[in-house]
Amino acid sequence: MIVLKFFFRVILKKTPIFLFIFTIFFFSIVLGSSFFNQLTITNISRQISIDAPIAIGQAIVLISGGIDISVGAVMAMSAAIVIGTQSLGTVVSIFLALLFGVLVGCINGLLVTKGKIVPFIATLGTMSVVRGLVLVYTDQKAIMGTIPGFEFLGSGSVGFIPTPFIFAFLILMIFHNVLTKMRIGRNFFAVGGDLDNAFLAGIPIFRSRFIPYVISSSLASVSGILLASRLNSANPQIGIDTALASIAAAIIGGASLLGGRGSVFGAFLGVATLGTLSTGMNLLGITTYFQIGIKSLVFICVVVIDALIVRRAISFVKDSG
Amino acid sequence: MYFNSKRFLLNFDSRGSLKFKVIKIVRDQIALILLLIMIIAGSQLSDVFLSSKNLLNIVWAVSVLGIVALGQCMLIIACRFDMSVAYSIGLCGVVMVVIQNAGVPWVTSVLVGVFVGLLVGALNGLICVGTNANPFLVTLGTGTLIYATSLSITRSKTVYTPFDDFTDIGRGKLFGVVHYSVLIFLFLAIMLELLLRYSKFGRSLFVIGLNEKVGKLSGFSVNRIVLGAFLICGFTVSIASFIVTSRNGSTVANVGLGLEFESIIAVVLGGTSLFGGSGGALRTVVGVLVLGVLNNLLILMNVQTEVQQIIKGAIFLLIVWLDISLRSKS
Amino acid sequence: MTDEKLLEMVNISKGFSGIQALDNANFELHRGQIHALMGANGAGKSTLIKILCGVYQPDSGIFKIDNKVISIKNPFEAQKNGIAYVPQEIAVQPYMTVAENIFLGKQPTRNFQIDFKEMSDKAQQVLDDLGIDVSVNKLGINLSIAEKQLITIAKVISAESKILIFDEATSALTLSDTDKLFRIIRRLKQKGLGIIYVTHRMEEIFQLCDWVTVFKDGKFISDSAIKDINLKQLIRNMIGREVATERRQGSTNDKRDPTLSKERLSIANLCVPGILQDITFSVKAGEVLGLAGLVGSGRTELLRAIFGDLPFSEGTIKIDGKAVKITNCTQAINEGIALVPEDRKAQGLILNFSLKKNISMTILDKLKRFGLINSKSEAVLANSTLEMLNIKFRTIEQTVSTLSGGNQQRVVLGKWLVTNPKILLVDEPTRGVDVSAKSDIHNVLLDLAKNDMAIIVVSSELGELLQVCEKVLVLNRGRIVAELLTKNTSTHEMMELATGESTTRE
Repeated sequence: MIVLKFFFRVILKKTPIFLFIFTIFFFSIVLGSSFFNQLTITNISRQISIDAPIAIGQAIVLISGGIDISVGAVMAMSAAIVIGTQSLGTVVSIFLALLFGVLVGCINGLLVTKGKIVPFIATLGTMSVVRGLVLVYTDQKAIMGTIPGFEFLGSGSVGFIPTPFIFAFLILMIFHNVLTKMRIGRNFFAVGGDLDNAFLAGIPIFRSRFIPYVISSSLASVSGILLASRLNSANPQIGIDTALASIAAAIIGGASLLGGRGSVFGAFLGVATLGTLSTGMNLLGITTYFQIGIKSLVFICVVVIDALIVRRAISFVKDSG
Repeated sequence: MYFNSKRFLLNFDSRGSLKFKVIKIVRDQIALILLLIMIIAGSQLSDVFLSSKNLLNIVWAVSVLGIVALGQCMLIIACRFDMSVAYSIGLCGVVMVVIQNAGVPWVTSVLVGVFVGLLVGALNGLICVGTNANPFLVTLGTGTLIYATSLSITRSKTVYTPFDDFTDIGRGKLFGVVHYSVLIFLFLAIMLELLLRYSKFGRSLFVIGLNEKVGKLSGFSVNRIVLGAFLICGFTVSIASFIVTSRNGSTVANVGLGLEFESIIAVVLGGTSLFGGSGGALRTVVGVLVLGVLNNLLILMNVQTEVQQIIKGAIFLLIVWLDISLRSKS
Repeated sequence: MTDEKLLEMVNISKGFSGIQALDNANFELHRGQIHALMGANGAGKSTLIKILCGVYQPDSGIFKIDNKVISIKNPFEAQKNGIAYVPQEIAVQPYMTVAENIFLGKQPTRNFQIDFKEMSDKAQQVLDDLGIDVSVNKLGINLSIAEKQLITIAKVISAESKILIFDEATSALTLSDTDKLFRIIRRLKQKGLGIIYVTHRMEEIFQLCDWVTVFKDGKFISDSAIKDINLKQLIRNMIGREVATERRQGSTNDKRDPTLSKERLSIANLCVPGILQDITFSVKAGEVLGLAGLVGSGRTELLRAIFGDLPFSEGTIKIDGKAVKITNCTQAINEGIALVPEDRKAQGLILNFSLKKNISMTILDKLKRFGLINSKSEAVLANSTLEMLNIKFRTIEQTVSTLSGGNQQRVVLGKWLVTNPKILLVDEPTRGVDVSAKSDIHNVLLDLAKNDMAIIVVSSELGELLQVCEKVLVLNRGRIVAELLTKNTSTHEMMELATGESTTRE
């Protein structure tokens, strides 16, 4: 059974949609109608809409050849800011939260490009600092929101579609367009795929490596805002495993740790798969601990498979005779 | 041909020019310099700081981190990381206490705990070596897996040791003077330093960290050496786990939260480069002491723990940036 | 071919920390001309090209394009001045289509969005124009090497291109790929472009080019029309007159009973797909065997294969008559093989390590006492090795990066000699080494041979092979094409065999 699962992961990793369908299929069979009903689907889509923007941002960073593990921390801080500054009005608090995300993104971008620090290390550092900020700001406690109506963003629905899903979908469409149809997006692929080649083609290297970090942090902010709205509160435990989950989702969606490839649609499907997995496990009554275990196994497998596939791809691509 | 995207050239041309000599000295002894600065600052800021009680306390407080940092140091010299230490320290302790509660004498339980630590090291090492995946991410993954395991064993609760004398080592002092934990820390540091300087294995860690290709071409078995480094790290984590569990008389799954980050900071502060190929166990001790003094100072100045984390994160980035600027060819 | 001078480079000089790469060199290119640029390694060809492409600036000299004096400061200015360069190492964005690769960074847009249809059409047009037959929708990762090269041409050529430079374009191509490439180059010639074709392959020069310029040691030697020159003359220009080079006088095994000198190393039918084919030879104890050939002929790869650094698909290796299995360097070292690699800085030495540590690296096991490395033994070893090899040093603790090239090379030798190898493989023993160190190293090799070591030397300096070796194998495109006795051959003969057509076709 485990061997089969592993085998499937190997084959299907390249096609996230099959993986997604497989997961739904699997849980539908095992759980029957308790899984495949409107409530569950709505719940899943609500959860996906919180995680999707981050995974999309992570995919973009991975495509450009980097990685961002500070996204969970930024998400938590933005949630805290948007709740904590509610007294200044909803619009202002959202603006401040977004601003924070942009700021951290700029710092990450500078550390990696000008500071020449390896992306893991740079974002590890900012993650630590931001986590500290969250603890300071929230005083290590959960903080509660006080404005009604703010909940609409996270918990409301337009018809049967949850509001956050609309946001997530919009973000998906926008960035899909950027990555596939705009030069700026194609440049992300170029610098991640072959840096020297990109340089010689006249592509602006600094910009193309800097902007993805700003995007990923900003999207992490968006997720934080949506989550804060849904919970109507914020606490320091937010986003603890988000960074790894977003990386897994992005890689399932076709991104690689070596850069140059990936897709936001794929990342979205990756989030959907992981979200379905979570919900399915919940419905099966699997304990939280076991769930964390499964998720980390998925992460490890994803990273390992990426390494094994990428190794073959490298020898092919760099082959110049 | 046109654009050398290899950013880090370890071709450090020290042709004896004064500027390079000074930079080299600063880089190598940065930890000691920092330590001195902070001790001086500390003595100014507080009367209690220089008291022997306080200083000994500092060393006692950091010995757990210190032992973990020693293991981390081995890996960093060979250009790898272990991000699972924060959680494996929990698992080793949990296993120790749980089997103690099942009637196993505590000495045996410690041996089992060490075995668990080695097992974790082997797991990390085999995956990294076998698949060539990024050790950073792999160990982040295994760390979370280990965390899940500890949580499920303890059901997120604290587990207590049933043996009174189990806490003797963690809390006790030899001849009533020096804490056992400090002695163990220093002993491990000396052993590992000897390993690094005088054994073939230690030498090969540096070789691999500096130029893995040369290592391979010179007959070093890179896979075996990296695996060995992971095993050592697993071992040190298990010892650290023993001490902290013994000290507290209990343990909980998240006892080591933040340890992975702190151990890397301590190693880098001590002068070991994140690029591999340089550093040492004694230097890491200094780096750990620097962190210890820093913690102490911050506490004496009544800085909250959360702010401390921010400061440490900022220092980390600063040190890493310094490391890079001092190492890239001009 | 017209008489319009497209490019004129006059008295160009360029030096790098003591080495004069170009010394008052000249080069002239006309419109509609396919002009070969030839010369041995280090002759200055690539420096000249890099100057043209704006990567380097000349120390002195001028160059003109279309009779206007130009100075090119970076690759982008080069492009603007109509210079297009097709590098030897072809790189293509793996996950983008051919069309997008061609227009990388310059994709046509409409309303801020890339107009894929237009890009595709334009790409198709460019390919048709050039006569290239590749689908515009293929992904970079799915292209063959030849196809990657062709679309690189499509990419670097623009409306303003006047000069197109090819750098060892055919090293990775099959014969039919090469034919296709040549057809395209001729087409470009019809359009009036001037083409600079850098190559080692004589038959290609005669097949494709109109004109050939020869460089040697950074100096301009000759330029002539292809129809006015022949192979022997070309080689003579490239390596100079056959000086009465000192030859290796006799060999270690001369005075011995032939049946007593045993075969140390024997290789049979060694194959590395795409690089080496059917390599069979043997080396006796005390023999120094040379490997001659062009860059890319497989010499370095052969040494690496013997040393376990390059896996081979077929073939056997026998040492002292016994078949051995070598799949990694540790096994090779245990069998008594040592390799002094081509790039001493990146593969031979740990630059940040001291002399002592570099030398002891290979035999740390033998320096142990009670399981730990004995520093005294290590120091003694280092001192004696350094002295034996006549290396100038201050202290064994000094970093090896502080030594000169010649001394560094000797340290690498020393590091391997301490393992007491039976078989010593040396790749470019005196590259970047000054004259006195050179003869020192040669003497060391000859001494080692006298003491029964089997030695294989790879060198691009053919004279060096004549001085040190008693036998030379010539490699050409992965095959051994000749086995020569140095006392009976010449550098010209070796070069002819190295650059001539392979006797077998693919």
